[in-house]
Amino acid sequence: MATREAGKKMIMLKSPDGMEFEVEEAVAMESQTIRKMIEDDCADTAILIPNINSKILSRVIEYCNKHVPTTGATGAAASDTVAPAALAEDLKIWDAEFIKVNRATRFNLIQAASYLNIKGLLDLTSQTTIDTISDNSLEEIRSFLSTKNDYLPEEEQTIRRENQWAFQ
Amino acid sequence: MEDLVEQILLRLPPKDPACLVRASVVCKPWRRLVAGPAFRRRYREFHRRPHLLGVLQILQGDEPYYSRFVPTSVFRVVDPVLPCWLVVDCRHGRALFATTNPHIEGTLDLVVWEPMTDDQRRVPQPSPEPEDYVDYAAAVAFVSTDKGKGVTSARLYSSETGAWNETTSLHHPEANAHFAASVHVGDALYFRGIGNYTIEYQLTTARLSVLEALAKCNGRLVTMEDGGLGFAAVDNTIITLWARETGPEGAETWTHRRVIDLKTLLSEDALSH
Repeated sequence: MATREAGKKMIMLKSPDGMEFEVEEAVAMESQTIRKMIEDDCADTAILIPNINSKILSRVIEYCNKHVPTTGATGAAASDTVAPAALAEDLKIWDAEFIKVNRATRFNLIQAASYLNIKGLLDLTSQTTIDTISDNSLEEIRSFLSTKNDYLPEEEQTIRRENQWAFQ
Repeated sequence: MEDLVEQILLRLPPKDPACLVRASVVCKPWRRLVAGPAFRRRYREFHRRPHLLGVLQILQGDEPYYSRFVPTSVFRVVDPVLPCWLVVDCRHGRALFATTNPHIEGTLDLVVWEPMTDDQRRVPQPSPEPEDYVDYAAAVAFVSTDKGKGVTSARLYSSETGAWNETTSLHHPEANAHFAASVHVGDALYFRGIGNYTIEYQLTTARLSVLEALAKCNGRLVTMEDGGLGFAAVDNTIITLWARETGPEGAETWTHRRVIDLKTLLSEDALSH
């Protein structure tokens, strides 16, 4: 985790359950939603993040901290000094550990990533769901996203019959 | 919630088109979502490059001619053999075919086919019918009447209104349309003319013009990597790429881009076919 350095602008993020998180502006701006608020000058004191509880928000901040492009003393991007491939590999391993969470947390992380518009986190959290669709485990998808199957059995059969190639 | 589902479904891999079909069986709202034009547009934007599901091949057989869909992915069409259908052009997941009219001998019908849904739509003949030499491309019918008059004409068919627009004509003694697929760049369709002229048809303004000829060679119009208009001249295994670019004096010209030798890319075995 990046250590706080003097001279870096800090931003306060507040969750609806009253917790406050002080983060570097660059880290907060990994979220396109927050970036827009800061650029539009709507973020003077603290930014309230609705619908995302402190437990999820702290995980999101942890993700942004890891993924923010770090800068060295000269201001050059860290990737100039560390081999980019090694850096990417390190991030991949970190991501794989990060996403080892239960279904409820994963669902909340998808919601948070979508609301805060953090592309990398949304890619990461959606991947398990994508894999489930690829594996044709539709019941699992329905229960994960609490989606009710509103097809009549014969309607579903018709779609499956007309698109047999997609269900083999 | 629907927004969240869309965010997830946008990430379904294009290389496995079955995923979108499976997603549409989850529930009716999902089906409406993935089948809607807004989702389809965003899906294309998200993945940039559409995945190749298959190619259409023209074959001679017992019928005078037929086209065949050859899959290059897991996707399968209902019936891959299309007797008496001659594929003319492909765009946006649809293909345009010319086929003989079963009722009026000697006339051609146009059919737009969407392989993913097997939807087939016949396009009504433009009236009055083109006189002599006819060349069609997806979304547009291109008509060149060449009886020593050197007149090239174009008409556009709209599937929204179900009507053809007014004919636009141009006089050029040599730039007659060539029976080949067109290229769509920006707001214009480009057709290759005989004598290596390129004919441009602006879709919004229905303006017709002729671009200067390239040196005589075999080849076809293409879309360049940057989305611009190009021409790939083919000489045996050598492909020479030309791009349509704005020159130093502000006028558009054909600029030589690069040469690709297929011998360096393909095996001997592939080249011998």
